[in-house]
Formats: sequence, structure tokens, C-alpha cells
Amino acid sequence: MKNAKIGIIIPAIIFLILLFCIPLIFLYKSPQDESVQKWKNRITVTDGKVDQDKTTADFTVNKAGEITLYFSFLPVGVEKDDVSNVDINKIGCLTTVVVENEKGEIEYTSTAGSVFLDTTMYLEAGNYTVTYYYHSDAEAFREFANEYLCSQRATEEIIKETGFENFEKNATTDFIYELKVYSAKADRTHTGVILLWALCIGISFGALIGGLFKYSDAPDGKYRYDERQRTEQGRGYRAAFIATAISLLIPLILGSTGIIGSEFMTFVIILALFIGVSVLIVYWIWHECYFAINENSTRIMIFIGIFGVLNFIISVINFIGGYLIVNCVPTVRCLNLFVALLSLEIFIAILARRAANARLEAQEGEDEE
Amino acid sequence: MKNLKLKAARAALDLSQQDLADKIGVSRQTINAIEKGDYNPTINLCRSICKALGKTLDEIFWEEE
Repeated sequence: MKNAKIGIIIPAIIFLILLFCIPLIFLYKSPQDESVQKWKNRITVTDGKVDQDKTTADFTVNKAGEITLYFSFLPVGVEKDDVSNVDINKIGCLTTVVVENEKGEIEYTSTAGSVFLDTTMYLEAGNYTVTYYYHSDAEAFREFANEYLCSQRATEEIIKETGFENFEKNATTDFIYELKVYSAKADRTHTGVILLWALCIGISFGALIGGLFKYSDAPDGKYRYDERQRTEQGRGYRAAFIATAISLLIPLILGSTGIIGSEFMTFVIILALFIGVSVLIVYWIWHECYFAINENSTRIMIFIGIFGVLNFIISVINFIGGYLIVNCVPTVRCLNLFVALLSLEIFIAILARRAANARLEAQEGEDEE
Repeated sequence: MKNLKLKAARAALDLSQQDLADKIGVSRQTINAIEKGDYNPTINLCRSICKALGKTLDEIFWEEE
């Protein structure tokens, strides 16, 4: 019992301490100044002409180094995730962001209809100006580009891709602008601190779960499961681990070669977890090494059946509503479908095990006679 | 390989797999797996089985050439 207490209480205390320390991450201050500016601006296009040429904002770099600039100009009501769906034709103008230093030298440019992006570059200490230039027709943009953009070829490509001729001639759009300036080094340190905390929390959580499993299974030094069951459980874990690793590695390798797009990665991770859990449960059922499933199989079958049907109904609703597959990519909602499939698998595995046991018992009965 | 000696010794005492399993504190499936030859028990479990059946290790687990 003493071991059991140590095995559970110590990881639990560490886990709780780390859990309460999480808010400290948010109190973590960057050693470098971070400036954030946010403002609104209405852009009106009348008869194909924008009511203003540009909008400007200034920022200061206190110490020379790697600086990250975060730009965002999105129409009101558009979230960052939906930026690709913004229709530039309805806005009626194209925006170019230009960052200049005190001497008027261009440090950075980017052209888009609406955007959020961050870029890291080396900047000397000093004052900088960010200017947002607006263009509603190709000719005006070409003139502007001759002055600010180096490559004529790139300019022509932008003009071709933008399709100025399709722009609305009369449009009003309210934009929200955001400009964030911070030290890239501080940002990396901040990310490192978060990763370190995540690692500590992960380890202590693993220790807690491990302690709970180990000592709840052997409250008085005696295991609830006998030696064969524990051996088979271990083999099940091994099989599940290998299955999960293979299911993850193959798509990751295919993803790195570009055969599978990165948009499928959420689906791939869920699929790999599903395969791992499936292998584990089916292995345990077939080798009869888990009391909860094998000793109360009828009750488990009823519960799993209801659970599976409910998840299947949710999947069908999601499919009909168009949430299951968006733009030909399965979303995280496919989890319900996987749970339904897993329930079906468990159901079939228990039935198969029961049928095999019945056959063996009948055979033994004949042998004894 | 099936352990018919174990099965015979159990049957001689009129014990079911479940009865023997309860006596030595393992699951019925484990006794079944040992009898079918699907599982090789540890020496501790072999000793418990022999004690429960009143047999020696040789009588239950020794295979004649």
C-alpha cells in the first residue's frame, strides 16, 4: 500500500504543481519590447477609383536584431482561417504593404487583397514606416510597381493573377488592420518555454497514469490480472504501438514527398490513433485478457452497440450537413465515424470470440465423453 | 502442444476449468490456454496448479520423450 501511495500521490502532486504553473506561461514577459497596433479603416471604391492612396503606421526597433513583423488586414467579420475565401473582386482594390526605414529604403513589400502574415528579418535600431498602398486598376499598379517593386515580371504576374478587370467599380469595405512587432529571438524563447512546460506536463501526466494503472491493478501487491493476462496485455500494447507508428509513418513519408497534402494530416493522425486503438482492443478481446470486456461481454456489447449507433447517427448528420468532408478533406468530425466503426469492430470481435469459445467447449465436451 | 495431463488430473478431481482457476487465483481463460498449449505458464503458476491438483510438477508438466 505504501508503494501504491508513492506511485500515485507523487506524480499527482507534480502534475498539480505543473498544472497550476501553466498560467505562468502567460505572465512570461519577452525581454524585447513588443508593440501592437490595431485600427480600422474604410476603403471606398467609386467608379473604379479608391478614395485614398495609402494608410501609414510607424514602429520603432529599439535594438538591432532579428525582428518579426506581423501584418494583418482583414475585412470586418472575416476570421484568419477564412482569409482564403475573401473575394478580392468585391473589395475592388489590391493592397501593397511597404516597410521603409528612416532613410526611405525599402525593407519589405507584400501585395495581396487581404492577408495575415508574419515575416522575420534583420532590422537595425531606428524608426520604420509601414505603408498600405491601394490599387484599383492595372495601370496604376504597374506605375506603382515600377517605383517600389524590383521585378517587372513579378508585377505582370500579380496583374495577371489579380484580374483587375473583374474588380467591382463601386464598393465599400471596412478593414481591421493589425501590426505587431517583436523580437524573433524572444518569440523563439517563448515557444521554447511553452514546449518545455508541455514536455514536463506530459511526463508527469504519463507518470500519473502509469502509477494509477500499475497500483490500481495491484492494490495489495497482488495483481488483479493473472500472469497470462498481463503478458497478453503487454503484447497488445506492443502490437498497437507498432500499428500506430506504421499508420503515422507511411502518411508522413508520403506527405513529405507531396503525395498526401498537409490538409489531410488531421485525418491521418485520427486514422492512426483509430488503427492503434482497434488493434489493442481486438487483440485483448481475442486473447481474453481484459476483465471488463471478457467477463461482461453481453453488457459491453449492448453498451458498445448503443454508443456506436449514436456516433453513426452523428456522422450521418455531419455528412448531410457537409461538415464531415469539406473541400474533399475529411475534418476532425470524422472522429464520430471512427468511433462508430470501432464499436462495430468490438461488437464483431466479441461475437467471434464467443463463437470460438462455444465451439471449443463443444469440442471439449465431446472429448470428455 | 495440448496439456492432456493437466486436463486429466482436473477431470479426475471433478473440477471444472473455472473451479481450478478460482482455487489458484487465475482466470478460466488462462487454464483453458494452458490446457490447449497456447500459453506456457511460469514456474510459480505451475507450482500453484500442482498444489491445487495434488500432483508433482513432473506428473503434470513433464513431457515424456
